[in-house]
Amino acid sequence: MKKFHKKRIMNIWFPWLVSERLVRREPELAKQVLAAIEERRGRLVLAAVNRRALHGGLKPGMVLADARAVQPTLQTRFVNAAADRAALVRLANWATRYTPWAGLAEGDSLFLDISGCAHLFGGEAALAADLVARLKGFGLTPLSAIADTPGAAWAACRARQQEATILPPFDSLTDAMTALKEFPLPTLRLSGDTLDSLTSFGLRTLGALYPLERRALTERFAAEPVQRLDQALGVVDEPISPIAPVPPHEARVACLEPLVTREGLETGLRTLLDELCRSLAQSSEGARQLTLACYRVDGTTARVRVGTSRPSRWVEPLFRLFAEKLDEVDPGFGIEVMTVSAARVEALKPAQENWQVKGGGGAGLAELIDRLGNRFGFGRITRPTPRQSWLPERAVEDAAPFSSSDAAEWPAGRDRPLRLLPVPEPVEAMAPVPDDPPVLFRRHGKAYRVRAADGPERLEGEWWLKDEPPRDYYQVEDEEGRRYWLYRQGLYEAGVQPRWFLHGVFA
Amino acid sequence: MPGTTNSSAVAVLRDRIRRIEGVGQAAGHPVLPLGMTPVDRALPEGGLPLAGVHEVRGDGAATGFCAALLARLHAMDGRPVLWLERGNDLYMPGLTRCGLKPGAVLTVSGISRDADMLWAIEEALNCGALSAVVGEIRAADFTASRRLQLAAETGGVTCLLLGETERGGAATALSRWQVTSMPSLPDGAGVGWPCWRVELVRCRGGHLAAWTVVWGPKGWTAITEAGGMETLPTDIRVAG
Repeated sequence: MKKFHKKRIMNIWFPWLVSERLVRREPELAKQVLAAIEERRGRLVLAAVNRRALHGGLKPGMVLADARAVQPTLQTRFVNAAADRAALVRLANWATRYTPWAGLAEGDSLFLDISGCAHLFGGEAALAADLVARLKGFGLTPLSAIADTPGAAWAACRARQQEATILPPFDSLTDAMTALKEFPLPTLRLSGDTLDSLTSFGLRTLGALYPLERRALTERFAAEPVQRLDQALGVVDEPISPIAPVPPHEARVACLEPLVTREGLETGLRTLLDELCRSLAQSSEGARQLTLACYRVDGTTARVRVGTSRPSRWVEPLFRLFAEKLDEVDPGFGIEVMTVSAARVEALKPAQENWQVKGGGGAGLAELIDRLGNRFGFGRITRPTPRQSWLPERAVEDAAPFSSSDAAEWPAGRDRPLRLLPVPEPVEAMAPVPDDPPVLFRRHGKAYRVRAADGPERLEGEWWLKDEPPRDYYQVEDEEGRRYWLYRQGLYEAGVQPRWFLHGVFA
Repeated sequence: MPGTTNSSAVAVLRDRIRRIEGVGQAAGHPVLPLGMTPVDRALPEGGLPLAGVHEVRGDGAATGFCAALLARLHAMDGRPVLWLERGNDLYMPGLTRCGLKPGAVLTVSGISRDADMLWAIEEALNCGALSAVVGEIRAADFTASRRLQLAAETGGVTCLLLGETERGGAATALSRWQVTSMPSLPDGAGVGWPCWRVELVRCRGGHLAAWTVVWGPKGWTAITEAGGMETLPTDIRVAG
């Protein structure tokens, strides 16, 4: 039994999720006898019912015709498993306001890992009461349980069926066994066949499984019952898979009164960044991507993301990056909880820190790149460096702004234009003799008479990348002194008109 | 000596006027000599005033003029240069032809709106870790150009505003240049030595004039109308 890392897991079960979701879509169904139907083996069968239907004698699994005979006023809707799952996912995302470790569990329920967070809400009972109250405000009926392991919480939730069941922490294995002894066998999360066979042997509670020999159980029923039992008692670990990736660093602040003003948001953001940067400093890391999540009173969330080009853990620059995007956050009816999480971090040693704090070239330029990148996109900021290629459009590589600048030298001696069109523009050109530069070319309907020209310069691309005909480049100057870079694609062949393009403009 | 007292008194008065005007540098401010004697003589204190806003207007020749200025600015203090372009067509090998070293230039491409461009220029000027910023902007009104000038002075970064048309542009720039292409000087075969017509249209404390600037293998030279072809350096040989 793992004692060094005591966990507390909460399981929230929505037994009426299907019908409550339907009522949320069509409020007039609230007072009716409602069932969700699906087709099973050629017949329409009830898959889920609401409370009124249950009290009226309808059960999941009944044939629709029989159900209508019992309750003539029955309202039916087809089961939509995808929508139900999406609703559960939304609830899991909403539950991340309590803890980032919120994940889906079997049977329309959620697992929340609340180890270490309960004290923020004033204790486990207060946390459960707060959570259940909010969920009831959304029109749902939750039942919850808190225990040491996910298996125990799941079992306790369905065994006790209360709004908040809290099992005290297990001191030892015998303690755990005593606590779970009386729970009925279906609360162990077994598959239908295994459950039927075990019940047919007369085993009805978890306690009945304890004295049985493990080897015998495994031989008869495969690994499932033993594994589930071990998970519930805490003998083996059962991790929760969270709905959203859990960030390595997170700071969270809950407000007494919902925030509606921008000043309130800014104050909250500063507090969060202070805490986050302190935790980053402790682990010698800097953040590259940060997300601010604001949880509103009505259950919706607003998120703002910023990125940096170099790891950072200083409050002021990060605050400035967020401040520009704070206008996008609409407080709505008020923001109750704010969190800032660093989704991507990189190592940042104190030695690098001193150089940054000196406040000279490095820090200022990095901050400028961050601000330009967050506004226009980091992909648009580049430091052009030479690449070994003859094709003009491939001769420049757009490197990241902080890559080392001691790269190769640009090839000297060749005249290249100042502006290169991203896509060469087709023009009409006339050359009297093949291989001679053109004497006239027409672009956008305007004719340019060539006064002087240089060339040809034959440039070919790498044959292993793309097999293209070679290009003959000419630098031509028109009568006003403007210089253009034209090329003719392909060689002169019989019956083929060569194509001319404008590729660049010189200074 | 009456001569010196006079010139120092004039300098003091100039300083006072500059401070009253509110925008502009104090005397003794660092300048960038352009390396062309006739041009440097026309500029106040023998060079282009640094940490201020200058405008360069014209077609492709203006881009080349900007690139040449950037090369000298970068060579002076070694800090990188930022070019904010409107489209996506700036080509580094061509800039190197004008003297810029590789790895000295950072580019941000695709800033199509003037409002975005003004914001980006101001951010870059406030940064202080660059030696110059080039922004391709159509027009900046009085308030915006004053803001840019103050930002340039605070950050100590020189700002060049590059634009195409003759109208528009910043209202309070320290100097405004008009650069257009001219037929090249023949050098015996093909396209000759590139020539520009560089006109100083407005300058605080300087003289307005126009020159023909020729690009030779070792840099540029300015020809005034008075000097003519005789003032060309020996490595630029004009044929015919």
